[in-house]
Amino acid sequence: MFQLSMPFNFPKPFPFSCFSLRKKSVNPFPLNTCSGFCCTPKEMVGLSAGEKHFIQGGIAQDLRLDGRKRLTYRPIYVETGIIPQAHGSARVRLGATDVIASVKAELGKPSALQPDKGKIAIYVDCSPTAAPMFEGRGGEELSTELSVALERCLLGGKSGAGAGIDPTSLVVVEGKVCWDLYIDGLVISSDGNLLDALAAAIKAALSNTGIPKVDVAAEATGDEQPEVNISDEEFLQFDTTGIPVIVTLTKVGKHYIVDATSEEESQMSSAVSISVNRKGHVCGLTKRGGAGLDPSIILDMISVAKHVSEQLINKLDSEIAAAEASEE
Amino acid sequence: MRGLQLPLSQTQRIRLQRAFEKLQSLSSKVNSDASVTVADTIPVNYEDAFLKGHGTTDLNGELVATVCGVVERINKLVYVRGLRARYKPEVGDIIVGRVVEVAQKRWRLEINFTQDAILMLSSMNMPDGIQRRRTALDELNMRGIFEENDVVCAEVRNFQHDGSLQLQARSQKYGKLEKGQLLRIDPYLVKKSKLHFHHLEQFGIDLILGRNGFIWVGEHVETRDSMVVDQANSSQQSMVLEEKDQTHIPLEMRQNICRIANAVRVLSTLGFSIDADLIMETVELSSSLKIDIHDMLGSEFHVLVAEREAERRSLMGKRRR
Repeated sequence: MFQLSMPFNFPKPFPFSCFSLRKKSVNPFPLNTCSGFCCTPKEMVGLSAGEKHFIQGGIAQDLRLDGRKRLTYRPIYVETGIIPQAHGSARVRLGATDVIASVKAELGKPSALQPDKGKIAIYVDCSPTAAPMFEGRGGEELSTELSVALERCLLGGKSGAGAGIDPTSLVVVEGKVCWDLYIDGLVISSDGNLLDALAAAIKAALSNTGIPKVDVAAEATGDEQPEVNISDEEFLQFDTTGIPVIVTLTKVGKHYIVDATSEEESQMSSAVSISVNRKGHVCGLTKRGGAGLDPSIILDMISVAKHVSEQLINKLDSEIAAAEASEE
Repeated sequence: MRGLQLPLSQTQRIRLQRAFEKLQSLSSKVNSDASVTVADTIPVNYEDAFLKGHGTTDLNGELVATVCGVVERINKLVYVRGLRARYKPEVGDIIVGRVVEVAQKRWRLEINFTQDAILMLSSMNMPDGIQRRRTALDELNMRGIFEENDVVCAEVRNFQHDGSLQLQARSQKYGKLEKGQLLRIDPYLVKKSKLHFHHLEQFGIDLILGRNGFIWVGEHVETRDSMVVDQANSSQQSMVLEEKDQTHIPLEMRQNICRIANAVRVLSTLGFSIDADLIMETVELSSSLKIDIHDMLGSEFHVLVAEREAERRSLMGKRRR
């Protein structure tokens, strides 16, 4: 189900296309606006003109379809430790959006350019159960977009600077042995705002991760690989307070909303996903959608995202703590 | 207990469980409502004559379920209702559907059935209300009446020989639905009743409970009498409609629409049958407790609604005795 062995040097950046390449045979229902992600609402259901008007009016009047304000998230439900074979896993439900993240660690050799850093790879898969258009290769474009956006937001630059997860904590023997982290995400059900849900799931999965303690058995000289003993008993936990969350702001008309459902996403003109950490620093930025944005709007969106992220980080941390407590 | 997708705290979980147990004990069909999976034996008194319905089969002299669902008994008929079953139409049902295709002289609607339903152009009232034969020009103007993705309310007229459904929208109360939201719930939650169109006067909102599980909550639209054609009024009305398109629904009406929609969502999550009285009670409960519209979808309100329903049914049971 999860693709575990991914080469770290994933080709990036992925060229963002604002017009989606929808296969006509798969999607018989015409959609009037293009959503930034090439894949569309969960049941490919179109909306009538009256319903669209209702949604846009609601957003303009600060009262969305389910009574939320523009900057309110849906209730987040976190479960951790759901995949016992993985080193860490979590499932996050955001309304009808349901995603699972798992973390697997394997011993590997660090790259020659960065001998003191471990390697992390993020890969997202859209399950065909989420929507009929994900069947076969339909979900591939969306999967790659999500994977790249998450890597950009969580892993920082090419040199590893500014990463949410510190890769230097993954090294065992400098230059010889390091941990390779493979983070896999699976979208089970899609009702909008996949990026936020995946980032929350990854954060929860990393909180749940226990990397086995490694004892270096023998000192090795030159190019020899040292022998290592992987302990079954002791585990090291990650410090996940530094991991950023992603806040996606969807612009509909003149206003932005947070945590859009798939119906609201079908009405958007553009969306900006901003990854913010606990200190309020911006760790990554992704813009989707065909409409152009004035730079002042982007700056405004960043400040709104900072404001929203404070509550979101606190809420997420408390939910993760509750999930870990109930798991025990 | 059903697996509710809600973050419930420990006390909330206990309260909810207690409410469901109370409801189960009050239910008249206490032993008969068993959930079964495939190849489970259905508890039936074999001496009584009974009819084997959908979802059952005779295996080695025993009645065995072929789908996962709940056993339902109606008189002598025993059948298994699947959990994710599609809508089972009956003639005369009022349904809400979405136009999927505009074909020759007919519209195709999606109504959560195994096939798309057909609404013939001749089964639809003309905009001017006059009864006449449909011409080729009417056929070309079909998109002016209903387009793709429009939400339409209609009635089941009959079944075709190939199993597909034919609809009609002859009366003025049927037709295109605008200015509101459409909710999708399980079809078995909407029971057949005398009234499916509810005009909630104190809110000025139309509530249409489609038997296929599509619920429409929207602003009230005056149904005009087609026989009275007033030329001056009709031109004024068309101008007013155009202006209305530009403006939005007033905030208070929008709040009421959202409150009612959330009440429907809560009741469908808890698995209670939807009818207008229950929806109104839930809305009154939420406004009397001053619960925010969005908090109606939180776990606390779900538990309150379940407890309230358990109390209401126990009171009704006591009154009967």
